[in-house]
Amino acid sequence: MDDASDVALRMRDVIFALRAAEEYNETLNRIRLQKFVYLLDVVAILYDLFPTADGHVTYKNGPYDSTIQNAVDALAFRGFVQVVSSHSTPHGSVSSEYALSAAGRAWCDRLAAESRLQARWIAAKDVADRVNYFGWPRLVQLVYSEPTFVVARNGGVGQRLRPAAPGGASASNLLRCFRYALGQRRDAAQVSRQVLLDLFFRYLDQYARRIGERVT
Amino acid sequence: MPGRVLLPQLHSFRLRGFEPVFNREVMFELVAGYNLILGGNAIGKTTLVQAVVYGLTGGSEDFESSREFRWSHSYFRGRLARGELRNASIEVEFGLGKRVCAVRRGFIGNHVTGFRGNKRGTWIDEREQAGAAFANALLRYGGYASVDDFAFIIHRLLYLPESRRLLAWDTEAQLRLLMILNQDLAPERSFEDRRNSLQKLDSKKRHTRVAINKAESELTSLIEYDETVDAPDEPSTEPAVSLAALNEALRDWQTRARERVRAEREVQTFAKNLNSITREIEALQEQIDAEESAIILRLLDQHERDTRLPLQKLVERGICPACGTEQPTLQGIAIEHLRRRGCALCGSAVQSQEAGTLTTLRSRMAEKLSAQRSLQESLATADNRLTVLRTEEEAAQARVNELRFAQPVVMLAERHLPLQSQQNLRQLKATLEQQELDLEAQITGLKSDLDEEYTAFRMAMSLRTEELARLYADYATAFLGLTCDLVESASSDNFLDLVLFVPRFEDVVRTTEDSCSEAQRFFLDIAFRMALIDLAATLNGHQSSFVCETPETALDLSYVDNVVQMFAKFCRQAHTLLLTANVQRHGFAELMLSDTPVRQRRRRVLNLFSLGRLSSVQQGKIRKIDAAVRAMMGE
Amino acid sequence: MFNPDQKAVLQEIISDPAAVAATVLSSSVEEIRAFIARGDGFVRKYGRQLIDKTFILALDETTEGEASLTSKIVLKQCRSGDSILIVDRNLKYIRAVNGAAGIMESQQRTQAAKSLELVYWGPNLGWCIVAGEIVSERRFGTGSREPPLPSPWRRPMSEFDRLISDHVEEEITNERRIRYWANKRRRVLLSKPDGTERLFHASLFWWLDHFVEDSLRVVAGTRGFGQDTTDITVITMSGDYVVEVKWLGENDARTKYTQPPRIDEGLQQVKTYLENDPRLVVGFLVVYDARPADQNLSRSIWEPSARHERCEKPWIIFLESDTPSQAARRAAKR
Repeated sequence: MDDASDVALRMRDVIFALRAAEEYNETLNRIRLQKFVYLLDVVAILYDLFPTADGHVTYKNGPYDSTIQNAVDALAFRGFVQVVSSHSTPHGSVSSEYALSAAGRAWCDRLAAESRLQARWIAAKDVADRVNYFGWPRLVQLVYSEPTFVVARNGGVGQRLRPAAPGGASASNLLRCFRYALGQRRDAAQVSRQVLLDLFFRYLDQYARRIGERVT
Repeated sequence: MPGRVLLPQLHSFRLRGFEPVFNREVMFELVAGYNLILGGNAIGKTTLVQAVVYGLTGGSEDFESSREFRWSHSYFRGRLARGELRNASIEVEFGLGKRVCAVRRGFIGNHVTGFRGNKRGTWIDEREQAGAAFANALLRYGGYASVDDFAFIIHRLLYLPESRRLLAWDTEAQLRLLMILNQDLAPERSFEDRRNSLQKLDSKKRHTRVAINKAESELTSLIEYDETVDAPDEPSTEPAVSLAALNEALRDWQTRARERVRAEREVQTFAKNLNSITREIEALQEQIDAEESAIILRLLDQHERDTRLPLQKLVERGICPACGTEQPTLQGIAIEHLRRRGCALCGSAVQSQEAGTLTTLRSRMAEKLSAQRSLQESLATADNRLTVLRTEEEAAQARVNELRFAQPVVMLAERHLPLQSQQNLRQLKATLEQQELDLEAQITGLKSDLDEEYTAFRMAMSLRTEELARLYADYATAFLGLTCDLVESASSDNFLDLVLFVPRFEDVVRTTEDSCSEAQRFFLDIAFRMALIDLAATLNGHQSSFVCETPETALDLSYVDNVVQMFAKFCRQAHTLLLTANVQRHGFAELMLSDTPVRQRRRRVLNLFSLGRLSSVQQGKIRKIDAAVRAMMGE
Repeated sequence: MFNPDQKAVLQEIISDPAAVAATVLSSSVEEIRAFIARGDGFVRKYGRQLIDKTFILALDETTEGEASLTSKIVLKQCRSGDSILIVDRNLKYIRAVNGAAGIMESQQRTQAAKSLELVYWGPNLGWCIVAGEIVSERRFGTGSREPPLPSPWRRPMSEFDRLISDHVEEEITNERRIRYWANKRRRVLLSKPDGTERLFHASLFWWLDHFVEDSLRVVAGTRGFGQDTTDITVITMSGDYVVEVKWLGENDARTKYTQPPRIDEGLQQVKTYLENDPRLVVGFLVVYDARPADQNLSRSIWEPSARHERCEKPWIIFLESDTPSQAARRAAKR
């Protein structure tokens, strides 16, 4: 696929992420935006969506997709996203928080209204809801506990992340385990998406506590 | 009854084409009495002498089993350049009684390449004819029963190499030599053939005994096993593991292995299908992404137009989004880019045309994801099943091993028993025992015959034995300087009471060579040979030759005179002596020459320093060597 | 695949009764968890007042209650026989319904209504039952010994023999953690409150639920129907295991199972499970034997054809009724 299309898809994700966070009065900086969109990719499979092939790779601060940052810049250029606060980090860099402008919000509403894009918007809202439950400050820790990332990060920087891979220690396989274990019933009830999401995020939270990750 | 053999007497020899060793053809005519081949280290004395021996015998394994003493044509190959082999040859002239023959051999093969039947005759150069004539001459004029006998005489009696292969304590060699030399009293070939038969019969008898023992052992095992099986009253001390249980365990193992293989195939099929559907999903996702991005870009475009965002301002009014100024050129570019369905700023292609298939694609995606999940489940279940089957297979295998090891030893041994009953084994044993008895009888009979023959031979030879002993005593006493005689001693032969002639001096019978010093061994051996040659000469009235290499080795100054005396005695019998010696002042050769008139000395000497290829050391000392030689010559 | 920490967390998540309940009810996991916590908290708080009382808290997600549930309400309703108390997710009391707090009845009700009930027997024992399935059994620490520390007893399903021997030693021998004798001297088993099989089944289920190291989830009574929901399924990442529970002897309801065919029945049931469920890798039959010792020794045979090749040989657990000194005297007489 061409670059413009890749950026377009990520513009959608960024817009949805910022809008979903906004509903909880949260803004996202560059790193948290990357994390949020990564979680969106991870749970996409529950909505019969498949993450893009060339998505995130492992990087210094967790999963990273350069197209996301390009999308943010393009959206900012177009006036859909604005920097709402800026501060220096202990490392000497500048961290900016992003929020939607009125135009961005309006465009998000347009996208969300488009029925063929709705699944993604619902997914973004569900992710925001779960993150909010466990606390926005724990967003990074939750992502660090994601099983695909846990395995891939051992391989160093630049490892392609494939959370939808059917085998191995992937998020997809984790969700399969949930379905498998909980679906053991006479009437073979389907495990609902909401329950799977709940369990998935609870898993991330409990794993993070077990390992004792700290946000740096 | 065969006649007596004539021992050959060397007359002359000619060695051609040995340029790597000698710088020209070597030719020498022996004179009566002693003859010396003078030389130094590695100058070719031994090569020359061995070539002469080769010329007479050919170095065949028929008469010489030991490769070390064979000196066949291949022995000389290393000493000659490749191309020179064809041109190399050795001619030896020798007397057999009154007849003077000459034989020539090349070094390509060991066959005779030329023969002359008398001194003034012509050479027979056709190979086969020459060979036949040579053999014929030996048989007819030499009285030999075979060419091999002639070669044996030369190798074991007439030539004493530097390696000192002694005759004095060699029972087999003594026996054969005595029989050849006295074949008028006993046919040596027949005796030897029957001795070989005796050895073969004995070997066969021993093998029969081994077979009898094996049959006995197997019979005992079979009896024990049958008794164990047939004895219900005795409780078995070993666990009764039935073959049936083992076979059942084996079948079980095989069944589980087959199931495991089936399960593995199933897992592979599921894994393959899962990979396949995952690839389809990824391909489908690309199409979905393309459709979605088109929708997004269309909506973006619409939204920008509707809300008049900066890029729209550039397109509509030419306002630069960066600095806010009017830029018609930039506007034109933006419009052109948009017209070509590219990005307003950079012109890169923007796919904003939807195919309108997104809903269908999503629907297909949902189905494929559901199928993928289902395959994941199936694969996981199949994999679990495979794990269990592997464990069961291992357990079945362990059970088989357990049963195998628990089997009693008798059952294991049963596999090694011949498929014979007790009766068959008894019968076999009886047959073998009868065979053994037959062989024993044959051996006894043959041994008795041979003993009788040998006894008769010895009795017939008694006078000659006395003469031999007398001749020996002369030579041996001359060397030792004290009385030494030849006595009979029992040999170590396994079958016959053969006699070994050994020296006795200082009242000690020297039954082994270790009972003498090195010099004593060597010269008493020479004495024995000379005595035998003398005896042969006495019997047939013709002289012979004795070839000995470097007799001065291991000889100290006190015995040199004695040795010279011994050789002088031999030569006085009109035999020809060919000796090799190193050039040394006051050495053995000088001593030998000292009693010879000066004018006769040169004729007796073949000086290899003038023929051989000298080493650099020798070249450096050539003047001294020449001076020594001249001194020896009395010049 | 998953590392040990990931597996441990996965196990914790899946074995959470709220996860099962939410799955069945298609409800929020967190909300269900909160509800169960509230119910258990209530019992812990009012433990002393609830001794010997058995009651049920049935969740109604569609109605909002008015007043908070109190121990007074519970006691009053129990006395009148209306032991089933309907509450909302915040444990607000809605109404009470007539019925005994039996596990089997609760299973039937919740299965029909696809609902959730928390069954409490006194202040010590509680079950979470969702749509006919016993999702968890909890023991509350008031006055009784805490469950044994997990680490020495946690074993994988591949060590089922040791799981069983630990269970017998820690739970069964001398009625260490469950009562099952109605008359120990005459070797008569209890039948109340829910049937003899239920007693042993519940005990074994609790043990497996707590001490199978590699289980994702332990599920009870999902295969049989009616009286025969005596199976336990242990779900692991490497496949599922089914355990069928039976008892032999007689109980105080005059039910007698003394003959080997009872063992064959159990084996046949396991065989049926193994043949029909491809997810099952191995089956087990555990029989609690209250017959006299000589019958245990001489009549514990089974028909080989009844046993599926993936079913292990049955565990027949003899229930001791002698004190150690009695056992010594009996042995001396022999």
